[in-house]
Amino acid sequence: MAVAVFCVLVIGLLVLTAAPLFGPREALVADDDALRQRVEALEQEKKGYLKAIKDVEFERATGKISEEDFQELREFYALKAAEAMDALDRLEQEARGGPKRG
Amino acid sequence: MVTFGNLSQFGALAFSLLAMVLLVAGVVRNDLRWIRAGKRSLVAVAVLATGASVALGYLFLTDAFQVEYVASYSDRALPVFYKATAFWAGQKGSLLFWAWVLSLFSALVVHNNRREPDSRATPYVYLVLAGTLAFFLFLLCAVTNPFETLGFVPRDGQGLNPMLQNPGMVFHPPTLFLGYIGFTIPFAYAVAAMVTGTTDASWIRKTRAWNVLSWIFLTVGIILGGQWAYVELGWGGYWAWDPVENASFIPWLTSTAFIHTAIIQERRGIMKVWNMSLILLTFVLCIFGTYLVRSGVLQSVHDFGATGLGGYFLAFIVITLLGGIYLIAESYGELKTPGALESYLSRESTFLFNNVILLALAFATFFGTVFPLISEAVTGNKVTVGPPFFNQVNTPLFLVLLLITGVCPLIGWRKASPVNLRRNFLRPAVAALVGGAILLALGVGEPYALLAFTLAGFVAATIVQEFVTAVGSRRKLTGESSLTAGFRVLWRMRRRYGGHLVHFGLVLIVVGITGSSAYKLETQATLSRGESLKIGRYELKYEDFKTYQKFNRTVYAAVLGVYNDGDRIGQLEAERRYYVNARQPTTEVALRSTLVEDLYVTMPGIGRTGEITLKVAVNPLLIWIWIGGGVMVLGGILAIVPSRKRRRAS
Repeated sequence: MAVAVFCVLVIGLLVLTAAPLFGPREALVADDDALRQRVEALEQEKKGYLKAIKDVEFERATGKISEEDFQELREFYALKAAEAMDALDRLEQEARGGPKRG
Repeated sequence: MVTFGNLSQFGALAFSLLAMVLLVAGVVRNDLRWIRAGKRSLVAVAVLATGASVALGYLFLTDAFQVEYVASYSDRALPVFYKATAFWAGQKGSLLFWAWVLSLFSALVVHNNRREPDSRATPYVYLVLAGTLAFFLFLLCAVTNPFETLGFVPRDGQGLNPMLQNPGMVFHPPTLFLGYIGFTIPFAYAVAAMVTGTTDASWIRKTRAWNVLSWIFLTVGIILGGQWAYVELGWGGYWAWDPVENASFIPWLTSTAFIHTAIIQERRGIMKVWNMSLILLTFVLCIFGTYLVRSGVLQSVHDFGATGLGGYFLAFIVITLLGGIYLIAESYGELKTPGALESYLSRESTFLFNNVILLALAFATFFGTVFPLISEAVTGNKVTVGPPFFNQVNTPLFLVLLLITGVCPLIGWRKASPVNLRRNFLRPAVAALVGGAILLALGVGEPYALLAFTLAGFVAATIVQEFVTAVGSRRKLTGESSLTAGFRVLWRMRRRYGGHLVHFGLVLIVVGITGSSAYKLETQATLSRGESLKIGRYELKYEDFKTYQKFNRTVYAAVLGVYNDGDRIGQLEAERRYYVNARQPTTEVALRSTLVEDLYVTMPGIGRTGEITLKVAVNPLLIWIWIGGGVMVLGGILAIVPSRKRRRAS
């Protein structure tokens, strides 16, 4: 009985495992995958810098950094966030098939 | 059920190997279909490992003593609750538990990523998981099979070690294992990131919840282990620097270090090599911890398991370590970051200092733990390193760590100006010094204790100041009431304040450890009925003696009246228990626990003429260790509660 139950279970699991092999072939690394990953990384980078701006604002409010340092850091993070956004724009343009104008 | 369980674990091994083959084929052929099949194969491992685990649980509950493992760790008289949990009382069941939970975690990773398109890193993540699963399943099938039968059916089993028949011991091993196992996931992502060259912080972001959750489980496991030792072993303490305690503490230290520097990589994109090294070290130490508990390589109260696994574990550890080092060296170019610490007065640098101290603690503890092995290998004599070594080396390091914990929230990211630092430093420092002076005036003269209490006060003051300032700023901006602003600050910045709560828990633990170790009172006396003994402000009077049968044990209990300045404030029962199938009686601690101190009584001896020997201790502030542990866990949970936006997105 135990052997029969096990066999049924294993057959079911084998069918489940093998099912994707009968679908259409898809490459693991397609060009648009690489593009998507780059976009994802830039999105994360942008979010990180925007979060960093919020954090330095909080640290100024709680008196941990001087006004001068705050301005310097804020500018630095804003610049970095802008760079990430620019790169994102460029990638979007590329994805649409044309270079960015201006 | 024996056959089904056995077949299931063999099936699970076969599917884990199949998963590896499919994943490798997917990479070689650049074909997503094979990768998908590999992922499904991992789910199949989870199904079959669950089948094997359910089978073993069933065998315990039905007293199937023809199974050697069941006969070794259970008997007919064992309460059902302990029968179910005897599953992980020994080596074989623990390894099955490891494989089972890892298979479930792997299936969970597959499920969580079901909507995410597969990237180049995907197969490598699952390859590491499948490889680790295959290792544990191989051990179960070929080396230490929990379904092995005796060839006959004994009338009864040998029973569960009485020391393990305690609720703390029921939950301590699985929580510790959950912590150990959980770190396999971030390790797998780290390996995949290095192999594919995607060494940005995305692997850290994806595995943050796994890191913190595993750390929480390790913390819970360590705290429960300490509590079990305190109430069950009867020697009056909670931590003896036992090799197995150390084996869980060392990865806790490295994972704590990793959680801190992972934040820096997320924010600044630096310390990539350091983080890769830390997660590799943590994973290897988790495997080493499992090996130490269940291999029987070192003598310890935990060595309930048998030997025979050492070579396999050692090979796995060496391969993982060498493979990890090779990958780090290979991807060094990508991991090396141009950005460096801009100032020693920055939060990044305090995180780095905290890492150095945590790693120094981990190294000292590791060295002390394996020293008996080293000495035996070199001189032929096993020299054991005892608690004095660990206390002497680790206490000053802990105090430095505590100081850094206090300084850290006062400093901003990138660089802090000395003026701001001085201003933020002033109030907590003054509060701590005033607190220290008051304690000195009250008679707390032991230098280490005074320093520890003062530093604990400093850390607590910095946390309070940080919170109060944040609430004040929010009130100024929004006009909210203090309560609303306080709640919103806590909730909206829960990652930050979760961290602070963890630090506050640490403060409470320091208070508990310091109070109970520096100001402990102990005495021992033999009393006849009606006699009493005094300790501190307490008087214990031996009033009665009882004998009774309960579950699977005969209990001999001394009833003790507890008096404080002549007033009766309660009653305690110190017990000696004789378990069915146990050769030695055990002592059961009688405990009166308050927020101020614990009155701790054991009865090591019962005389023939009715006199009893009592060992009594007063442990000041000890309960704060358990409360602090709870606060730490709460802080960890707060730090990983996802935002509503993220929940919706996932």
